[in-house]
Order: sequence, then structure tokens, then C-alpha cells
Amino acid sequence: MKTIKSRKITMMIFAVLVLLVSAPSVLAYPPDNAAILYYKAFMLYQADDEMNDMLLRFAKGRIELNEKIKEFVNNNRQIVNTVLDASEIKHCDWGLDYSQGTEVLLPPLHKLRQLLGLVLADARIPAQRGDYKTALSRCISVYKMAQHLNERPVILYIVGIAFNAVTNDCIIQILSDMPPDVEMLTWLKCQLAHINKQSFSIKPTLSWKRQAGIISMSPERISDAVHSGIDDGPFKEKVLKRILAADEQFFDRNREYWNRYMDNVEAAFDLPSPQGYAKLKKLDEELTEEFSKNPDSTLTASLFTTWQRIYNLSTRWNTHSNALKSAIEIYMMKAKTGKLPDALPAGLPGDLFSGKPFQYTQTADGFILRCRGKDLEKDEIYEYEFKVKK
Amino acid sequence: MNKQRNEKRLDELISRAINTEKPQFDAEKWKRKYPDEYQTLISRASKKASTHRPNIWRITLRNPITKLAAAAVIILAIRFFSAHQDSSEQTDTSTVSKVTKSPVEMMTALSLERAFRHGGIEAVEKQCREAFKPLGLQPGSISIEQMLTEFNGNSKSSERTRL
Repeated sequence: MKTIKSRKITMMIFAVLVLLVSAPSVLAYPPDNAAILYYKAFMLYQADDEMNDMLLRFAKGRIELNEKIKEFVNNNRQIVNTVLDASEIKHCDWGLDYSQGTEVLLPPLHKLRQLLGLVLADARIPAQRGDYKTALSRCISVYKMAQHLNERPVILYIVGIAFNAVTNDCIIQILSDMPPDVEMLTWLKCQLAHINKQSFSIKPTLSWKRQAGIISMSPERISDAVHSGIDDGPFKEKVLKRILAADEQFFDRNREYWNRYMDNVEAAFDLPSPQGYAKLKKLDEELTEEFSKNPDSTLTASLFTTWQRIYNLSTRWNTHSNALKSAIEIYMMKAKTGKLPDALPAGLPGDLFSGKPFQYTQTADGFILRCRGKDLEKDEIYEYEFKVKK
Repeated sequence: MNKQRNEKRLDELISRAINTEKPQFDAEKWKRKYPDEYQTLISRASKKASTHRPNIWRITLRNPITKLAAAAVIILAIRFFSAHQDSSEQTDTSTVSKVTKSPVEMMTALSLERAFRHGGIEAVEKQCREAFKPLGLQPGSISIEQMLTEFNGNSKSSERTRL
């Protein structure tokens, strides 16, 4: 009798101890998953199209600060703080059900883009009153948000790239407004180096796409994939007819074809531009040709992704980032010596379209870094303009 | 005749898919889930069948010269059609799906990839906005006068209730 009573007491003490130990971690803010705060911000934040557009244009330096922007950002201070808190959390689990293959449901990406405009507008406002550290810190937070988007699905990778590219633009604007300051530039350089350590990469996306494709290429799931992935028309009709006549071997052979195709795609992404781009373009053309004569290519053609376009976006963004890193070095030389260098210093990261250093030209109010290689998709050579505050 | 043969072939395919023990493509389920696409498939098959006139063809094709000429025309037509079809099939991005999709369907990874193929990141954003669009009437902005009118209306009605 006594033993039972004492065992009960021990159990109760143990339960109380467990509660006491776990309670602080449950109640702690911020949570250990950044996505919780992002989802909270998605629910609370409201902005119409006009305001979203205005905020992004201001962040990129296309328009000047006005009272409307100031008031709107101030009214949404809590949302900005929530997003900044989220960006500082290392772990981000969006709660995506990857067992659904290509039919995995994604978070509301339009809300992410709206929050991007809000946070970057909030970065440029302190820069206008000379508080460059706060301004640049906000930009670093957006890079961290982009890291949280480096999840597996292709679209999240693309949105992450868009985040990084707009943030690059915003930093370029802040640097153009800021008198060259060695301490501030060194701090920024360290922050960027730290961000680059956690590389923003296509690898998780490529391996997800392969796995998701395998999951979707099954008799139970293929109809959903065809329904959501292909437009109505003769191509869809042909795919549907082949699936209607399919047996188990059809799915096996199609999965084999898909694996071989994805091997080639992954190998192409390891190549530098323009070889990588050319290989992906060729793969795309071959798949189009194969579809008409080889039924084993049916499902690969159905889950088709514009890989060469994604490769191009990735090269473009990395080149943009290299231009920014090179510009920081040039600004530092200006801060140290009082004048811009006559030629581009050696060892700076270059233009990834050509694999060569940027072409450096001084202008009346700063300098320009110009690519030597062409963006093959847009048939355009990019140049990045940096202004230097006198 | 041709229509019957097509239907029989389709029935065979469907029953073969249903009666096997191993996991097969569930055509019945698919028909129920995507009735529009099924109808498109069937209507195309029946359209082809209804335009077919066997008697005229039988008479004309008895002539060997006509047979040769017809064969040449068919070969040329097939070549011409397949050359155009192959190059346009996959890059046909102008056709937007006529099937209305639910918000859940619009938010899948593959569906958003399709939007990206059509119009880049802006199209992805548009599709997300569409998926999360609130249903029903949205409250517009309200002026001070409207608020006062509403307030007066409410207070009058509550007074009436009290009376």
C-alpha cells in the first residue's frame, strides 16, 4: 500500500518537473521555426497593388521617398519586426508535405513578395537620414529570408533568387547614397561573406525535382500531375491517350527515362556558362523530339521544367552579386585613398556569363561594371552602375 | 462503324486498367475527377468518326491512280502536320487551361511551375493572389459621412427596439 502511494507521488513529482522544464521552451519568443512567424506576418499584412508596387520601386531606387510610404511603413512596424525576428531564426520548416511529389502545396508566395517590398522600403528609410548601419542590416535580414526559401521546390528557389536580386539593387542604392566609409564597408563585406557561407544553391531543388517526379510517375498520382502541369491542347491529349493505354511497364520505363534525363540536367548545372546553358537547351530540344516517337519520354515531357531559364536566372543573379562584391572593394579603395582606382583590382569575382573579370569604367559620378558575356536568353549584355557620394 | 470501334477500344483500355490486380491507371476515377478533360478526349474521337464517309471513299479508291494520288497526299499531309506539331506541342504557351482550378490545385508546385513557364515570376504571383482571393464582397473604404449615417441608423434601430 505504502509502495503504491510513494510511486504515485514520485510520478507526480516527475510530471511536474517535466512541465517546469518544457514550459519555458514552449512559451519562448521567438519560436525555433521561422516559418511560424512568416505565416503570422502573411495573415496580418495587407497592402494593395499600388502600395506594393510603390514600396518595391522605392526599394530599388526608382522613386523617391514620400509621405505615403513613410506612413505605411510606420503603420506596419509590428509586421516588419515579426519578419526581422523570423529572419534571425536559423531553422525554417514551411511544413511542406513532400510525399505528394510534384503536387506539394506551397506557401502564399505573393505574400512573401509583398513582405519583401515592406522590409526593403524600411531599409531605405533609415539610409535617407544617414543611418546606414540599420539600412544595411535590414538588407542582410532579407538575404537571410532568401536562405529560408532555399527549400526544395523549383518555384521557391526562383522566388529566393528574386529576393536576392532585389536586395542587391537596394544595397547598390544605399551604397550610392552613403559616403565611402571603411568601417561600414568592412562590416558589410563580413556580413556578405557570412551569408555566402550558407550557400544558396540549386542542388536541393534538383534532387527534389527528381524525387518528386518519381513519386508523381505512378498510376495513382499521374492524373493529378497532368491535370495541374499541362495546358489543354494537343500535347495534353496525346499524353492522356498514352496514359490511358498504359501498363505497369510503361511507368517503369518512364521512370528510367526520367532518371537519365535528370542525370543530364544535374551535370549541365555543374558546367559554367555558356556551356551549361547550351547543354540544357539541347536537352530541351531532344526531349521535344523524343516525345513524338518514344512513349518512354511521355512523363518526362509532362513534368517538364524550363531548366535553361532557371540556369540563366541563377547565372544572372550570381553575376549581379559578384558585381556588388567587386564594387564594395572599389568603394573601400575610394574610402582609403580618396579616389577611385584607375583599373579594376585583380582577384575580384567576375562576370559568370563569360567567366572573365568585369569591364571597369569610371563615370562622372561613379563607375560602371560591365559584363563581357551575353545573357543568351535575353540577348543582352548587363552593366551595373554605382554612384559615389562626393 | 468507326465510332463503335473507337468506343470498343476505349472500353477495352478502361476495363484492362480496372481489372488488373497491380496498381493501374484508374480511368473511371479519372473520368469522374476530370470530366472536362474526358469529354474533350471523347468528343475529339467522335468528331473524327462522324466526319468519316466510308461509301464515297470506297468508290473513289477503287481507281488505282486515285489510290496512288491519295497515298501521296496522305504522306505529304502527315509529314507537314507532324513537322508543325512537334515544334509547337511543347512550346504552346499561349493556351491557358480552360478548366477552372480550385485554390488548392493552383498552389501545387507543378501548377506554379506552369505559371512560371507562361509569364515568369509575375504570373506565379498572380496565380497565388488568385488562389488566396477572399470569397464574396469585400468591404471598400468608408467615409466619415457613411460611418455617421451607419451609426445613426444603428442607434435609431436600437432605440426602436428599446421602445
